[in-house]
Amino acid sequence: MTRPSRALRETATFIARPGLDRGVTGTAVRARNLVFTYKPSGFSGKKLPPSLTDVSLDIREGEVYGLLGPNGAGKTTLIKILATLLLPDEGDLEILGASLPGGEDLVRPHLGVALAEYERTFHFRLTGRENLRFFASFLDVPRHEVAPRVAEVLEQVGLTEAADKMFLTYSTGMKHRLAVARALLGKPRLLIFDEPTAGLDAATSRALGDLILRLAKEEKATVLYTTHRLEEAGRLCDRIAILRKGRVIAEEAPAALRRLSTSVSVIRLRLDAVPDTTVAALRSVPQVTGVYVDGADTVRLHVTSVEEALKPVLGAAERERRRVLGLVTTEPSVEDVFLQLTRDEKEVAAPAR
Amino acid sequence: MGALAVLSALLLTLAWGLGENWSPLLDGLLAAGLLVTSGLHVYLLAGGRHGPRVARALAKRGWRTFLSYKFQLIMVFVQIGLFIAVIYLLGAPLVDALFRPVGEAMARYTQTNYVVFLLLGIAAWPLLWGVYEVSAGRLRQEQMTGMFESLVPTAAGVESLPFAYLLSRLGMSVVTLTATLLVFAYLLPEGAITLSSPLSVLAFATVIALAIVTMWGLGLIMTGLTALFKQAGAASSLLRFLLIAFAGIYVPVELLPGWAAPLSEALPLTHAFRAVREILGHGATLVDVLPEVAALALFALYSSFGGMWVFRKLLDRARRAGTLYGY
Repeated sequence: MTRPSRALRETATFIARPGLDRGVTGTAVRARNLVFTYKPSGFSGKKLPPSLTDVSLDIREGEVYGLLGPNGAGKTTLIKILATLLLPDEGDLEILGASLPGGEDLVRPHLGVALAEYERTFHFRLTGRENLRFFASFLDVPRHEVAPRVAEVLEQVGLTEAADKMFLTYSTGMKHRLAVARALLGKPRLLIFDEPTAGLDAATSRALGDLILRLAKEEKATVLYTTHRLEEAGRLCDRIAILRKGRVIAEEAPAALRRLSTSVSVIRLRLDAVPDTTVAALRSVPQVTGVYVDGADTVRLHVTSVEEALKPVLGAAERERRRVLGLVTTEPSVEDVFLQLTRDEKEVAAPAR
Repeated sequence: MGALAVLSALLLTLAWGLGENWSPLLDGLLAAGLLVTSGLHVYLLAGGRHGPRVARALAKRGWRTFLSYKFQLIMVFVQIGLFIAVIYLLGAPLVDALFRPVGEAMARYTQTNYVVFLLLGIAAWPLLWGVYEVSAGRLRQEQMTGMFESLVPTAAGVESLPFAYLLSRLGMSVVTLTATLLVFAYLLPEGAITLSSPLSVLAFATVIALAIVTMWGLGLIMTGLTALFKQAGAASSLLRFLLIAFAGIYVPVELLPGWAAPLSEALPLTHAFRAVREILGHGATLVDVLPEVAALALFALYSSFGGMWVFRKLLDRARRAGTLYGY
């Protein structure tokens, strides 16, 4: 029998990716009771509090899964554990059917990762194309497939024209798109994005979010996505998990998540001005659980009941000699749910500004 | 892997056992065997299927970056041109003016031709320290820029870097060493540097290869430590000082005080430089410097196994501690 050529064998490996059974479990990630504490090196003996105290989640194959949480909630730590960069202290973890620790070599060829601090890992004096070709050497992309694959992902993220310009000349949005292209290079089954839209303006951020969603569908990949833009998560993700102090406190589809928060109603109040004294006065109303300033003249109030809160809220505004320009009651958005769920018990109302 | 260690040991024992009956053919076979063995040893220990490909990518990245600094490129060629011009115009008188006073002063303490001694140190030290730096410094640099976190979740992984960096460095080092030795051969009086036969060329290559493997392993230990203890890299300067002061690189070992002798013998490069000087200075072949080669082979084995083990183990520890990221 004729032995297949090296190029053919490499291509077969690239496509078949032996070692993991695609779609057997239907679960891309299965995590149970993950615990992780950073252990700083050195002689200070300083002990840090745990970053993850008890995280369990299941991510289905092919879904876009969002991770939300305030700063310090443990999102990046969880992302790094799933990207095989950290080993949990306790708990069970299965990614694409392989148990970790131990199954790293089986999992890694199927991962596409874009961490938040990606910029310095690109070489500033190489072009976008050269940077991607460099990273392709670390993947299972067969040698003869590298050039077309790099061209393909550059096309997918809309960087074909800028492909041969030095990375240092790229705008922030272009750099973000190159990071997405790098994550896509190896045709991964699990794409992990840590705040891919951080630092971008709203329009660019929306475009990049849509791009990731489209590419994930095209590549039939499972996506894990963290962001601080709550509406973006609501728009892009099939399911969202909210992390607070190292625990998953809610995990639902965006629509269900809104329904989850039955205890919150929202009043949007437009005033002639919103000085700190007015915010404090509104916060002191017993039925108000949260006051959030939205722009120069609007506050969003989380209240236990619109009927009960309306009169005291308007009374507080009047005592502050504020003119009420408008008042609307709305359904809670993903952002409202997020703020409600991640509100610290000790804080009666989250900081308004 | 163990087979490679056993093969090296057998070759060396055979050489020792045969003593006077040693033939040039066996000498050549021993050198070639050790040379191939050390190359295979490193390849199997750290190369993997991704090593050569990653090495090419690293070399290409370095080269492209180098070419992108146009002014620096011009300056490099100007510098090389000036160097050649100075060598050509001044030549031996320059060496005489620079080194004779120190050579004469050293003659009061040692019988060694100090100028030749010094120049051989100048030629070989940058190569060997460069190999250490490539596995300690360059890898540390990759970690500092956050590259470890980008490369860990890939098929080749960070584990492909030590071998790849070694390969990409070797080509440049061989060119530099050859050029330096050629310049010295031109500058020094005839017979000062003697590669008397193909056997001494082979012996020289073998000793350098074993020293390279040793320094590469030591560098990996340092990189592993840095992944866990961020400031451990500073200890490299201590190692550098110990080697320069006690390994007979610029100062003959026999000039050191008695208490320093055990320390000197415990340093791998002492054996490497002693062997290199015997080969280049007196036309020795491998069997003439067998004790040094045996010691160096042992150092190479321990240091490479130890280096890779520490590197892999401490990378895992860094994943547990959460210290894989850069500074």
